[in-house]
Amino acid sequence: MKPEIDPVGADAAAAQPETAGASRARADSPAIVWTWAAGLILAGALALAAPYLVVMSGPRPPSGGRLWDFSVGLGFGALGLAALQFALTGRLRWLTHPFGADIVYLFHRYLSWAAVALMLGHFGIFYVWYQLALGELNPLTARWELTAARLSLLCFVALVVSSQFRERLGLRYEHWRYIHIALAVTGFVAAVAHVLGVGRFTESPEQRALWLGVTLGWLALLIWVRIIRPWVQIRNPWQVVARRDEGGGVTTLELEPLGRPLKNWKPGQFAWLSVGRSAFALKEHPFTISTAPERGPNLSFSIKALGDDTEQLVQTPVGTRAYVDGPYGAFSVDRKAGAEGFVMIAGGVGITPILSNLHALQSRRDPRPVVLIYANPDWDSAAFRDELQAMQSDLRLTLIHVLDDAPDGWQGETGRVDAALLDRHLPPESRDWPHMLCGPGPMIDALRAALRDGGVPARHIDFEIFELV
Amino acid sequence: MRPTLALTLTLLATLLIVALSVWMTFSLDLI
Repeated sequence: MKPEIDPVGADAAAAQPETAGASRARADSPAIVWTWAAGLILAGALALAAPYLVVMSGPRPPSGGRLWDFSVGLGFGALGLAALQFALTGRLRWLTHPFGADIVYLFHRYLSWAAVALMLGHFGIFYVWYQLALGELNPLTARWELTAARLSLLCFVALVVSSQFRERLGLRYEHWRYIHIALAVTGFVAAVAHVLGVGRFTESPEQRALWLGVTLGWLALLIWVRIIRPWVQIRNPWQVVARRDEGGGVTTLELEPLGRPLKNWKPGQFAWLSVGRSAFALKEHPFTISTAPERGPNLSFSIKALGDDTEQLVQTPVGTRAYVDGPYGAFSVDRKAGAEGFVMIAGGVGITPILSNLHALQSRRDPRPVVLIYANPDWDSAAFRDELQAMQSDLRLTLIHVLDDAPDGWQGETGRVDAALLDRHLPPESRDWPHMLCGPGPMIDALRAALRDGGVPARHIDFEIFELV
Repeated sequence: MRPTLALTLTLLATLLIVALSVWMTFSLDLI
């Protein structure tokens, strides 16, 4: 199919709206966001230090030897990290807000490697220096609290491996989720049982209060995430009211709230969507909300069928019930206080959060310039072409399509988005604008390097990670 | 920048745990 639009759109006539100041005022204050983040980081550090402080404040057990005590210390730390993981993945908005949920999930992944490394350190020291204390391996004859420790270690190693290599292991996302939750709960319960069974640090009232507090806090979180929140979702269902083909294999589902609409969401945020199933089912997926809050209360999710559950999802009939858990994420123009303009670079379906941000700027008649570079394998893969083209009349939007495989007569950009292409299209002043990137991982990595080489400070480069697992 | 924060915080958390473990080791050793 031949392109029917000019691939490099000229700057649209800048609307000179009276609401420019108002749209900037919506931006989250960086001071508040950073203070909030610092408070959470401090609270996390205190939570990790708490077991040591409590253990050392009570009656101290006799030293088992320096390496022994050090190993026990690593074990406490690993357990603290494991407990923290439940909070990180509990989709607590007050916790994810300052960082963005995608980064909290990335932190969860990094932290899981650290936790497993500490657990292996804890076990390794005993294995090398105190093998006798480990006793028998056979669970029928071994001390139960040491079997619990081995089970816990196995669960946590399996957790990290199954997450890191999910696709290579051929695990479907929803199956992986069941396995992940089962392994996490088993591993954590076994670890706490191990500590209580060994019983070296459970004698004083403070120590008992600590372990009781950890267990109760963990249970409360589990009840909130798996029972209370789905129940609230059931009381506030949504309904699919429209289904649109956006081209490029992307389908938009428009949802109308039958209960409470989504509150306080920002353009570019995402939500977990569950369609046609109970809110208690684990079959839900994170999707960007592709419309802007100004166009609410209906929400649109633009989904590309990628051969898994999304194939069914894009065929959802109008009238189907749905449940929405959100909003999450920080990939938003509203997080870019003081920006004089925006550079947005999308690869394929990575256009959806960028589209949401553009919708918001359009609704607010924002006068700031936006350069959008939109890369696709070919012209037919480029979703929302007409919509983006139309936006140029309301926004100072420069739209640059980049195709891997261009049709005959194509006069626009082809190949990869590299330093030379960026240099051709980004004005010098754009180095101080936020650069918002969304696309496949390798593309983002290459873009980050190219932008940094081109003199864009790292603090101006933001990207959305949408491959959470 | 945000992913760097995630990695930095992970390293800091690990260092904190190692430091607390060392502190615990030497505190128990003094008894």
